[in-house]
Amino acid sequence: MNPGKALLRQDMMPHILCPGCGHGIVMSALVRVLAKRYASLDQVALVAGIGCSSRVVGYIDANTLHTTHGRALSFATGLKLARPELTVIVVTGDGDGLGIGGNHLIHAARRNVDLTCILFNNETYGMTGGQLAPTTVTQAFTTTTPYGNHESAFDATALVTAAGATFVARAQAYRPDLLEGLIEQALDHRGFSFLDVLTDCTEYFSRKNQLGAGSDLLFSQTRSDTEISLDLTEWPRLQEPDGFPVRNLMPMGVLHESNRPTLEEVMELPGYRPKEG
Amino acid sequence: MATELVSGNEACARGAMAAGCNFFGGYPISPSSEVAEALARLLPKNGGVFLQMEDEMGSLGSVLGASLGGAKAMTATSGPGFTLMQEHLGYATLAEIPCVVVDVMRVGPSTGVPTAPSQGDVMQARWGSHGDRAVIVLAPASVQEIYEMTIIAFNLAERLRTPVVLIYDEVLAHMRERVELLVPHQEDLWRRPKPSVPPGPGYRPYLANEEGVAPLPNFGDGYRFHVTGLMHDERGYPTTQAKAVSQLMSRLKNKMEPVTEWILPESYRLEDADLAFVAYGITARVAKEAVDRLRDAGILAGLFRPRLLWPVPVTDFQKLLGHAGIAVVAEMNQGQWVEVVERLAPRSMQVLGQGKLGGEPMTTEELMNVAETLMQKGARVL
Amino acid sequence: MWKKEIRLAGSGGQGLGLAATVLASAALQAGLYVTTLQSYGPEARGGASRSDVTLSDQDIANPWFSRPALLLALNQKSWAKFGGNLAEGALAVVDSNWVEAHEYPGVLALPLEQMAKAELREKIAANMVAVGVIGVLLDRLPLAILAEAAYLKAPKGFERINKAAVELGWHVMEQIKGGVEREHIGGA
Repeated sequence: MNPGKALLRQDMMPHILCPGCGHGIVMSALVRVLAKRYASLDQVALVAGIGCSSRVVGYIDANTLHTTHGRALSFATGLKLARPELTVIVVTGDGDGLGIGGNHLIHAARRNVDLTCILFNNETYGMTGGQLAPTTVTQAFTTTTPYGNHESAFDATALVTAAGATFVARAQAYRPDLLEGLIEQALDHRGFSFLDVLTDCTEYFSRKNQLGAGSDLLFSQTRSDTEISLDLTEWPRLQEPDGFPVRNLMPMGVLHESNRPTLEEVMELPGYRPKEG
Repeated sequence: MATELVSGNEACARGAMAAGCNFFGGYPISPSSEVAEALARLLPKNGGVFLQMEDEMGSLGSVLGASLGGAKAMTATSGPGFTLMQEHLGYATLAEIPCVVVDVMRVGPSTGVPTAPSQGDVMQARWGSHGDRAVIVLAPASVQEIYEMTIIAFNLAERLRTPVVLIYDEVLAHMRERVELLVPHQEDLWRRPKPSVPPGPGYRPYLANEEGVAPLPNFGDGYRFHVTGLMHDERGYPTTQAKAVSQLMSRLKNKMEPVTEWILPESYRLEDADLAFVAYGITARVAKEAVDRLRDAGILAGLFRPRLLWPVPVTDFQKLLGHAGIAVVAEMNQGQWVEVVERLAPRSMQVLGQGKLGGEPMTTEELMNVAETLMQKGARVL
Repeated sequence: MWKKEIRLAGSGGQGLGLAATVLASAALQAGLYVTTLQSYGPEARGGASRSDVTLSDQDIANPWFSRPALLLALNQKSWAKFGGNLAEGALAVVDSNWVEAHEYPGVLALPLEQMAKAELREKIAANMVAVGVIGVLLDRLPLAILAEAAYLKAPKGFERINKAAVELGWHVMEQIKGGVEREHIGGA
């Protein structure tokens, strides 16, 4: 049994995630980390935007806030500054966090408020039916790119690093062991920590691009402990000899770490206890 | 108590401080910026948080997050910024998060005339956010009233767990006049109701009290509840069940009802009036002067000044104004609240909308001319 | 009912906002009703910014007006902008070194800046000299209250200078007024 099961709102089940969706794995890793760290989630707030990823906060028995599309970080910033003693974790998606909410993301990184943002990156808008996202790779098919995507995808980690985030990492659903470790590191970090977690949308993105079932997608992501394959630049020449789509390698793990005072420290907010380090 | 010469925007900030506001999230925009500037000065000195956000969506987002953490939170904006806040106003209504939003009205649409007054946001304040929504919109007409109504806005927001909008125009925002900065008694500052049950399975975050308001603990108090902009049941869990949705919507509307009994309109020389001006904000001051001067000239004029634009003070309107033959609804727009008056007016009443655009307030002479012309026509049916 | 609509105009930085504040504070002190309204935004930073003050012995309905009964113009640009739009019988006080306004009958041209410089070594205090002049013209605010308001509202270090500037303007205007009255009596 997942040690985090006691932290779930069983009465909110069944959840809305599709069979094969990678989001459940990411959520599960988050819940296991929370279970390891906290006996109760009284002092933990989970703040989310809109989309499949953002729905997962409701299933966790914490102070949970399911906000508007793209704006979770602004709610989280206000909450954290009003209650600096709370642990605030933001759950967002690639459309939510990088599309409609991109402005809030870069400014949250710039402010260096002591909160953790976990971005579930499945390269598409899942909740609305598989449309083009700012993370969709060039040439990929979505319901709004029937002739292939003409645009280039965001590298979320480079974006938030440039904006001033003090902890930036990439993880993937297929390696929950590594993911858990990175979530722990992000929570330990003093300042704005950001995790770009690659997951997959089996229902739309995979079907549109004939990428196979959830398990195929998960295997397609993996290469090693330090790298992840995602960038489908060879599109639409999808098939490698082993039957998995060709994806370029992207680095995984901690990509950037720096140390500067958090906004709470600079504002000298009472109740804020900076972590070590 | 201190008597000072202050501007409307400064009075708003001072009122917020007197109400116990301890969080402001905002974005600069003319002609509201002085509210933010004053609170940037006052809040940190008094243990509060001032935060300049990246845009107006973020501003109100931060306010709602802070409010859930237990803060008395507000933002201030103008026309285009108010438009950008509509999404979060709807969210705050449905998720029932107390907050105060100040909208200083300027000439629109679009960028319009950023530095000139209008009263063009009255309908936006009512219907700006999508979906059906009950709202509270207060309209002060003096710097003194801006101060007092900012305190009232916090009281209503807290007690009824809802966003409260305070709207006034650029002239009121920037004009300075004498204000008595009365410090309210602590017991006159209302706070959101708190749950009477301890945390645990018996606690239902959206179970309403006898006022139709669900008690609201702070995030971090141990109640661990869920807040969402989806329709939800008493547990706060998302629901699509028609019955639960309609019950929730009815409760959100019904809980606003007492507000019309709490915030009464101003009635000025209406008892025997043949012609009644209906005006709010700066225009009401001008209309009041026109009433006196018209009476000096032998025309029985009066003024009905709603201090609460939404919900509409229906009973007071009919009680105070029902007998007047003519209602002149004066507002700095192309006709917004006049639609309310047309709906409420008895058949015997002639309703005329007197709008003014261009960024200059109405003048006493203009209103007197309108009244005199109407009375000469013998519009009074008696 | 007594009511006076006053427009103080000049370029941004000539201290018209402060002049309005001093007049308004003194009026409050003297038990009058008062409103002020300043030009705002880019206009306030330009060459013809204005500060409007309304004084009355009764409640003031509207702080906004287009035709003042008393205009102060410290530069030509503001005279050009506001000088042609005055109430009937209005008075205008202009700085004679900067404004050419001969054609207007109610105009009182005084070397305000020069006076401030010569007497107080601070030409920036021209605004307060003007406040003193206006104080006499209004005939409602005692000098003591006006000078005290100038002292209290002055930026740090300017308290004495601003107070003295108001007194200077007041006395110069009193003399002119006395002269005009004597002339008037003499001619009669």
